[in-house]
Amino acid sequence: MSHDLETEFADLAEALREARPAPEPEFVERLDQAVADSFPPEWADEAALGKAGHGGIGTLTERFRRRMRGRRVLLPAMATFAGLIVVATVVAAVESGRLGDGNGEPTETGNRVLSAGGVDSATEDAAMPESTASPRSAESGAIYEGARLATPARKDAAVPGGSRQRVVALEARITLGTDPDGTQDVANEVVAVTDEHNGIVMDSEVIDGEAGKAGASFSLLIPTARIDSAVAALSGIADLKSRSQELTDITAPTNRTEDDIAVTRARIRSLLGELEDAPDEETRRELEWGLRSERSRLGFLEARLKRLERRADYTPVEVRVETGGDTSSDDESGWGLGDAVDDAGRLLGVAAGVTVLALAVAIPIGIVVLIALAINRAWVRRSRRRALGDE
Amino acid sequence: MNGMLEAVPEPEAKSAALPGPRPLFEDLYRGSRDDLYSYVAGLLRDRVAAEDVTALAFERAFRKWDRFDPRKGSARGWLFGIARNAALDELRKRKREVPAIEPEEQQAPGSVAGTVIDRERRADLLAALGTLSPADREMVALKYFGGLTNVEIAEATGYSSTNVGTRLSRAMTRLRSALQTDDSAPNEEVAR
Repeated sequence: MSHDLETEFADLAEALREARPAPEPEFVERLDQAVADSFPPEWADEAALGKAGHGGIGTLTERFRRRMRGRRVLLPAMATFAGLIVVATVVAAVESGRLGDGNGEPTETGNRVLSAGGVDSATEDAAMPESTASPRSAESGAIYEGARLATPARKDAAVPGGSRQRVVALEARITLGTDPDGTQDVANEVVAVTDEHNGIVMDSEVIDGEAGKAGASFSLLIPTARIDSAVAALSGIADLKSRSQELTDITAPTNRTEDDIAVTRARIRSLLGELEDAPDEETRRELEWGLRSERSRLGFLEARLKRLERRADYTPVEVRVETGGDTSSDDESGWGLGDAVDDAGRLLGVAAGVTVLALAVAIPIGIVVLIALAINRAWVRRSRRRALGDE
Repeated sequence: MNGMLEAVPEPEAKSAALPGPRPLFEDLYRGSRDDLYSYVAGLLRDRVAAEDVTALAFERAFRKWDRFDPRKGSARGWLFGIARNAALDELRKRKREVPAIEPEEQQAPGSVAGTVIDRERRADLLAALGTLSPADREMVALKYFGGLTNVEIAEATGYSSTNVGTRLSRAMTRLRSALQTDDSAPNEEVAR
């Protein structure tokens, strides 16, 4: 590099330094003031800056932050409100998921039934071995309609091409706690509730005595259509110690029995026809013997079908009333350390569930947001380089 | 090429640019306010936009001041980096919204009789600067309007110091060529 060139660059550099633009005194004054005041929220508007950026300078986020800085209480309040809405939504979702368990007491069988009923019953029924149409009507009472988890739609659930319907049998066990003096009252209430629900007391036993010995037991049959209401009422008579409900799918045996009945009837009709045309006495005797056998079988099958239908129409409920121990109702409030531990456990479980659900929602959203931010950042960098003509 | 710039005398080093303890924001502001404005105005060639961007850069720096780490570089380099992003965003916006914006008239404050360079020469110089690409203009503005060292420019732009020297040298060569072209051409709109 020649000395002339170096000198020329030095001169040029000096000329540039001297020609550099300087800020207007008014601008300097306003900016000094803004810095001295630590950039108050209104500085960008009131200091008459942002003349080029109409409506304030900076990004949307910066403008929003300036606005919100003047409302320090509002922002946390909005955040809290939004958080509460999220938590409430999640809790509602959790609770709605338990609706099928009835009265908030989930049972394993109950859950299983809900999921079985939740799928298209036609799909499940199609997998059953029986494929012939059933003569049994939908009003058998053994369909889901009468079950606790039933929905009206299930009444019409049927196998394609047939009228088969799911048949379920419910069973419930309730254990109540009370003090010895209250045993008789509880027993009376159990009977009253059973009557109210058109149920049947199959068996009952009331034992008087001291705490631990006194008690009662009942074997009830409650119409399946009203089992929900009956179980709820029975559970409320005294301190509920335990309750369980089981559900058995008796579709297959019911359908099989119906099919057997149809086949047997056909055989009887056939035998009757043959009997009319019997050529001799020996043949007639053989046919009559076969006819008796088939009729006997038909009677047996019909009785079995009736039992199955009754099993579906009526739900056996075992009620036990106990006294003594820490589960009796000596204390009307009935809430102690054990209950507190139970409640705390439930609360922690719900909190953990809510957390897991919240994370399940937040993590994918967070990933998407992070990807969007990364893309935006790359795009901004690239467009800055383009603005500079540096690409 | 770097030799060319090494021959160019460096401006007096600013105290805020020196590595060491964390400076006060107010010190950084006082030591960089005019330099920052000059750089932004030189790059954008628009006084109003330059005021906005300068103010915005100081506000952002103020908000992010806690995150500034002196071990990673000088405060001036950091501040000019913020201003650079804001200025480039402004340039982006112009390209998108006002593609054919004309450069604003720029006047040096000392454009009165008795200043070191005369008005006509300054006008020629600024006009020639306006013919440079934004990338070249930025290098010149950072170096001679902002008064940054090559290291500080590297901190502000993300280029290496060597690259900064090369770019500066190239920009100065083009500026000189532009000035020579202006000298040979009829001087029409030099009243910038």
